[in-house]
Amino acid sequence: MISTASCSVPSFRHRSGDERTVMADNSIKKISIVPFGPQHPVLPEPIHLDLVLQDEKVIDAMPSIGFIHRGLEKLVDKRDFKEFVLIAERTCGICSFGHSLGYVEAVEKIMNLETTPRTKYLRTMWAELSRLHNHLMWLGLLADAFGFESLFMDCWRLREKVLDMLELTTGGRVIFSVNKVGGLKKDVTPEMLESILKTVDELEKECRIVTDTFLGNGDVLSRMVGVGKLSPERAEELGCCGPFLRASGVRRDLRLQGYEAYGELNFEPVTALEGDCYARCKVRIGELYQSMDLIRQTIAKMPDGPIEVPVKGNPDGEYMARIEQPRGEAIYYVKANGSKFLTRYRNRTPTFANIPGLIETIRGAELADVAMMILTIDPCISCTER
Amino acid sequence: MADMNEKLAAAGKTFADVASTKKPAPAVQEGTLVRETGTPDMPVEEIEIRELLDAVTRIRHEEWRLIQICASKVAEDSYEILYTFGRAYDIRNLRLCVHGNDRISSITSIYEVAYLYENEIHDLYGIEIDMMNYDFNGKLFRTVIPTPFR
Repeated sequence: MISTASCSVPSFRHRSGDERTVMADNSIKKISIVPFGPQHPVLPEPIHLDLVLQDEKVIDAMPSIGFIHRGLEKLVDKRDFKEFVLIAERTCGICSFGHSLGYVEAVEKIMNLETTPRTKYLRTMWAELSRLHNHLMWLGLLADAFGFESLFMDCWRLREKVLDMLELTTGGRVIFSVNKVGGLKKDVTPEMLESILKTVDELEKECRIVTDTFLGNGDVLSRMVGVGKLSPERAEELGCCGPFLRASGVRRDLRLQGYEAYGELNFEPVTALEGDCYARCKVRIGELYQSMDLIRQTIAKMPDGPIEVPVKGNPDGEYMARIEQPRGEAIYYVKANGSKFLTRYRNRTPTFANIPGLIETIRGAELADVAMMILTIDPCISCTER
Repeated sequence: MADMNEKLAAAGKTFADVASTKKPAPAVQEGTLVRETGTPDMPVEEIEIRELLDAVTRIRHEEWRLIQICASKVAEDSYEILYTFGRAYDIRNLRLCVHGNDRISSITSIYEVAYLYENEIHDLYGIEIDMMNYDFNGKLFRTVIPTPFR
C-alpha cells in the first residue's frame, strides 16, 4: 500500500540493529515507518498517518481514517426530511450551522421553496458568526501547538464572545437548531442585533492584538514560513478547498455564487500566494476580519418580515447544494422520491477533500513539521467520517 | 465455440445470423454521452460501466477537477454511483448503475485523489472497484457491520 520506491534499493542492517538503505547518490539513510496518531497532542480528533521516513525526512504518508464513523447519512431511512435537519446539524460541533444550512438549501431547492429575505440574511449572519467561531478556535489550537498557552487561552476567550452572541440569538452555543426546511425557527430582536454590532466592534479591537502576534512573532514565522508548500496547480488537481486552496493563490470561494444573502454583500475572497503554512494562517486571519465586516453588512441590510414560508408535500428529485463552510467547500447531495423519507443524503466535507493535499504537503517535509501541516488544513474528523 | 456452433446448427442458425441480430452497443463519441437526465440545476450524464474510463478521461482533458464520488442504493442489490466534477463554480455529474456483483474500474489512474471516495464506496456499499492506486482492503472505515449501507 505504501509506495516505498526508495526502499527497493540495497539495504543492510547497521550494527545498531537499524535497517539502513543505500540511496541512489550512495549516501546511507535509515528508512522507518512511524505511526502518527490517532491520538496525538496536536490532533483534537483521531486521524492516523503512517509516515515513511528517510532519517528525519518524510518520503511518503498513508492516511487512515474511520475511527469514529457514525453512519449519520444512513439515518435518512429513519428520520423524515424535516427531522433530518437536526441530524445533519449534529455532524460536527463547529460547522453545525453550515451543515444544517447546506441540507435545507438542497431540500428547499428540490421543493422550489423561496425563503424570505429576512431568513436569508439571518442565515448569512449566523454562518459568518460560525466562521468567526471556527477560525478563533483554530488560532487557539495553533497557539497551543506552538506552546503559547496564554495566546491559546486568549484566542479561546475571544471565541467565547462569539459563542455568547450565538447563545443570545439562537439559545445554543454549539448546536443552534434554528434552521428548518422553509425558513427559521427563531427570529432575532433589534436589541440582539445592536448587541452583536457592539460585541463585534470590541472583538475586532482585541483580535488585532492577538493576530498581530501570529503574523509577526519570530517563533511563529520560523515554524511556518516556507513549510508545507503547495502550488496552485497541485492544489487544484488534488481537489483542495477553502483556506487551504486560497492560501495557494486560487481565488475560489463558494460564497461568490451568491447563495442566501451573499449575492447582496460586498466582499472579495481572501487569498495568499505563498501556499505555505504561514499563508494558510494569514488567510484565516484575513477571513476573521472579513466575517466581522460581513456580519456588519448583514445587520445593516437586515430586512423585516416573516422568517418562514409554508412547506407543502414531500420533496421529489435531487439536488447538490454547495456552500463555503469555514473549512472550505462542503457538498450536500439530497435525493428524494416523493415520500417523507429521503432516499439519499450525502455530505462531502472540506476535510475529506483536503486529505490528499495534506499528504502531498507532508511528502518531503521534516518529521517535526508534520504536526504543523496537519493543523494548518484545520482538519475536522467528525465531519469527515460523519 | 464448437459447442456453440453445434447448438446453433441444431437450431438451424449460423453464428453470422446471431451476430447480425445482436443489438450493437451505443457508440460513445467525442463530447456526447449516452443520455442526459437530472434538472437544469443538477445536470447528470448517464453512462454505462464500460464507458466510465473514456468519459472520465475526456472530462479530465477538459480540465474539470474531481469534487466527489458517492453511491446510492436504488433497489435491492442495485446502486447508482455519482461522479461530480467541477470547473471554477460549475459542476457536472456522471452517473452509472451497478447491479449485483458488477465490478467497476477505478478512476485513480485519471484522478489520483479518487482513492478516498472509492474506498468509501467499497467499505459502505461493498461495491468492488478494480485497480485502485491505494486500496485499503475494506479498512478505510472501521465499521462494526460490514458494508452497512448495502
